[in-house]
Amino acid sequence: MIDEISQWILSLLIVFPVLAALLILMIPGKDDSRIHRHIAMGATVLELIFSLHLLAHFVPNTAQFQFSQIETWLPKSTGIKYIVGVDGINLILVLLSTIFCAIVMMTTYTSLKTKVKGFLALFLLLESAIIGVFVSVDVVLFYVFWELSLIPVYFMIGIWGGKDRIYATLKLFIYGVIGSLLMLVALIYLYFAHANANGGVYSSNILDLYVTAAALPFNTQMWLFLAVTLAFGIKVPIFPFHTWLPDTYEQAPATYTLMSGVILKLATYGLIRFSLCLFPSAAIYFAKPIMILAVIGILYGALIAWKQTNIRRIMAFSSLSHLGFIVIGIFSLNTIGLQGSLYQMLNHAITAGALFILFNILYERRGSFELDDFGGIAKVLPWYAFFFVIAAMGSVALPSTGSFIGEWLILIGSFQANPVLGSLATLGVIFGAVYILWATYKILFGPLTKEENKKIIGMHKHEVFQLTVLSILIFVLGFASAGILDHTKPTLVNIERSIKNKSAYSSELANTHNGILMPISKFSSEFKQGVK
Amino acid sequence: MSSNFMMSRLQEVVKEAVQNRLWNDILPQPAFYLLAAPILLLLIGALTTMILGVFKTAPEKPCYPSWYVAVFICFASAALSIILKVETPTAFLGSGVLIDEISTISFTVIAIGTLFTLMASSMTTIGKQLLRSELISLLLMSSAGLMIMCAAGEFLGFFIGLELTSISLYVLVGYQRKSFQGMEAAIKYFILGAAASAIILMGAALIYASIGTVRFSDFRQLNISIEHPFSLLGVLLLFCGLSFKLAIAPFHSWAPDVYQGANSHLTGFMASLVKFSIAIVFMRILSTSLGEGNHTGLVAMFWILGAFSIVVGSLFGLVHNSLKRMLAYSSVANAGYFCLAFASLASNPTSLEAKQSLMSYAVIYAVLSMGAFTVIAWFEDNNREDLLKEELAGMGSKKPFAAFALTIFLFGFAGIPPVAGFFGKFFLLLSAVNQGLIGLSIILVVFSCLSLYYYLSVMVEMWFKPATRYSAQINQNSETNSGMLTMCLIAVIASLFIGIFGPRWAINLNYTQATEKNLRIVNTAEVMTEQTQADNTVTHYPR
Repeated sequence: MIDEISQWILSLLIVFPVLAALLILMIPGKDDSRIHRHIAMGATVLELIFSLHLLAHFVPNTAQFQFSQIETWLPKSTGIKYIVGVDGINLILVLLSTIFCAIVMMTTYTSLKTKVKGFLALFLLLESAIIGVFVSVDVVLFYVFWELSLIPVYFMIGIWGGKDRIYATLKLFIYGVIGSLLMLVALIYLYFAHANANGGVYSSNILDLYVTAAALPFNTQMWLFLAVTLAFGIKVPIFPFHTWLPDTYEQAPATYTLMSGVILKLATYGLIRFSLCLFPSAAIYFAKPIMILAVIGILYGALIAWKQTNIRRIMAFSSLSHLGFIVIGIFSLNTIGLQGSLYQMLNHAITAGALFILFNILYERRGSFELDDFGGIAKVLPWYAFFFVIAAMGSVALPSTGSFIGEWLILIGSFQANPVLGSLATLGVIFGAVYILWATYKILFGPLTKEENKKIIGMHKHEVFQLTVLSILIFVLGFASAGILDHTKPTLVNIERSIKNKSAYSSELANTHNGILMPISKFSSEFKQGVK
Repeated sequence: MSSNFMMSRLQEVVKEAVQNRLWNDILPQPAFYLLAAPILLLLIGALTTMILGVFKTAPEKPCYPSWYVAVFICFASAALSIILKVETPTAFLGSGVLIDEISTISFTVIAIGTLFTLMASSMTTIGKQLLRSELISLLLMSSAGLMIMCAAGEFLGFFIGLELTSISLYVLVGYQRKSFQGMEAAIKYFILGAAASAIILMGAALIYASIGTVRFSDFRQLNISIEHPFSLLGVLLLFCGLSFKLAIAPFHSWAPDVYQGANSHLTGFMASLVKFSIAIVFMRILSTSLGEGNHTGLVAMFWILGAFSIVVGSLFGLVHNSLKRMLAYSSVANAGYFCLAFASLASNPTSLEAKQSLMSYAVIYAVLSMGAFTVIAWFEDNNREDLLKEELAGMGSKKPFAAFALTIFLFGFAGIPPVAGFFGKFFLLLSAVNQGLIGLSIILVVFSCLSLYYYLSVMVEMWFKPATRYSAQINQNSETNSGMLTMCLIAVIASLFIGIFGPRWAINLNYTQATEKNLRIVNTAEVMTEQTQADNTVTHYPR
């Protein structure tokens, strides 16, 4: 029984939100009826419960893909199959997204007022696409989900966004599509390279493509690396491609900004899974330039965030800064840096999510995102201030919060790779403290000058619940890091080894498992015992 | 006395004919009537509907008896072409009609498409104008012509089909005698279309002059080079004329006007099925390999046509406000995408991938444009025809399902998964890259982004903008139309189904085309020897 569930669990995780979305669309009702929100909420909670199965039955001490499923999708001659599976790195990202979707969904009870059905359906579609991106092992499948994740976002911002939403959403969508088409060209090239190298047998399984890509001549690898990295770099965003981010954050509806913590992680995940693992030699060659861009992003983002007066723009540039850390960790190309980056992906999603919830609470009551409109909120809403300070601590990376461990690991990793850039990145930690503390001061403390702020209503139950969960998570990540890092370690060690040897990720994987590569279907208790 | 003599004479003639099986020369094999039944049914239907119209007292009103017959005939034709499995590809009428997998799948698409058009047009007020018995008859004739075109294995069969389709469509486009735009469209379409037909005919004449046959499978005897101007010019003219029919730039200038002026249901019919059939004809001609040796000239021609078409379609679509004109330019860009498959087929006529990609894109494009124009007809229901983009503002809340369906089809045109268009483009790119057409593939990718902008701009109007004064007027009369909802739902489900599960049917085909050789297997040994003799005695004109 457990084996069957394990086989189908990932497909269930992908399909279930779509089914829930269809159900919501079919049930008639007005915008103020709660039934749709209840169904959506229930669906995300169920999804979270399903995803716990992954955590319960995951075998931590192996880098192989687990819970995998292979089905024929396109006709056999094309070699394009439906392959899903999780290893250490996407396991935690899938869990992050299911947890986060459930938390974010609570926000819709108050923040969502018009066209409720459509929004909830799009949100669930987005959840399905995000999970699809994380669990796809076949590159064509990955590409389908990657593009699919653009569509709900496009409509969410375009319909429920702010005043300049159309400009923002078109910019986001077209940036995204240009990037992903570049990636598509690179993937098609790889697909043919694989067929040429294997006597006309086509495959788009990423584990096969790893072998092909690592064997390509350096020049080709370089171009393909640039195409793929640009596609992900736009979406991360890495420094010069970040201009869509502030516009998007400023115009997007509250729910999207909360989710953005997870959405941006799709791209950083892509950087690890595609850029690093496919093209190890090119990754070594380009590591330094990309690290430089990331450091520029860290410092520039932090400094610009300091000078912003709009809370959402502060968050946008702070995200640019934090994601710079993640990128620098990834391209330090060692296990510690990668561990830190992966850990920081979780932390950034959680702290940024908490901050966005907090800002959204103010916005719903005061209708403003300007720093100058607030001040002295701590006197009116003491609990709000409590949660705010915790989230700010998480963002600043004080010890005992998860971000501290993440940034610590990243900095160690980047020092190993490049001491100069590592020390420059450390400056970013200081600047990061400056703008977030400045914002905390402006909002929470200082004189309570505005009349409206004195009459601000207290927090709803679900808001308190959301913030409590996120605050607990901030501290859990700060103390119980070993458990999570153990899950990701085998995969990341393997990545480091494949980069060091400039060999294919999958052949390294085969080496560690006595030459047995991927019994990719039939992951079961047998397999579990084999590993133990 | 004389009558007796006459009778006995007649009996003798009949006896002689029976003994010598004279009709073998004229009439096709009995199997023909079964295998080509989808075509024959449509032709019978065309005649029946026309006769039924005679008994109608109000000729301007929809003629429902004709409509019932037409729907039944299309349904039967579609069912037959799905049921009939062709074991061995067979050629009839001297390869004028080839019955193979390509034909049967085309029959299916065309019959279902015609059925869809008939059903959908009975559900809107503008569509009902198309339901006069003579117009139904013409519609059936034109779809029979399309089937003949798809099944043709030689030029004459193709040309008969083409003219049957084109002439019916000239009349159908111009049925609104009092509408200025309709007349403009009809006259433009007629004059330019007739010129294109003449060019195709001239090309075929020149090909005949150089090789003495117009059978597609004999085109490999062609020697295309400067030293053989007849063949060169013949092939060029043939492809120019065909490019006109497919609206490949620079032969596209008719498309925007005709698309705009014609009834939206009819535009859907033209944009999807006519393009589909012409693409199949391209496949039939190109896959027989024109001449021995390499085809760099042909590849270059399709490269240039494709690039030009993609650029023109993507750029000009940006500036047009009329929804149908915009979609016309989108179809020009799509014709350019077809050129990718043509070019890869030209560079390697046996390439299975190129044929698969061409077939899958043709069907996917047919589904998407049929759906898109049906939604537009729905918007135009009880309203002004030829809508502007701005007039769609606020449709997302007024007619959510229609707006949703149009969104799906536009995403399909843009090639965003999980809508069918993604796999269409994906396989085109695969086959083109495989044949080394990297430059053209990059042009496709880059300009897809540009054309994405105008598809998105329609969605912006529908979903992101509130209803304005103009759009409010439009929505006034619109009511829920469950019939149109069902039709759009069918098209949406079809395009999502193909988009999620992939174009399996196109990939599972083996694309063996019927040739004369297969005919010999079917025929008796006697005929076989005659045929071989006849082949040997073909007089070759000076090349």
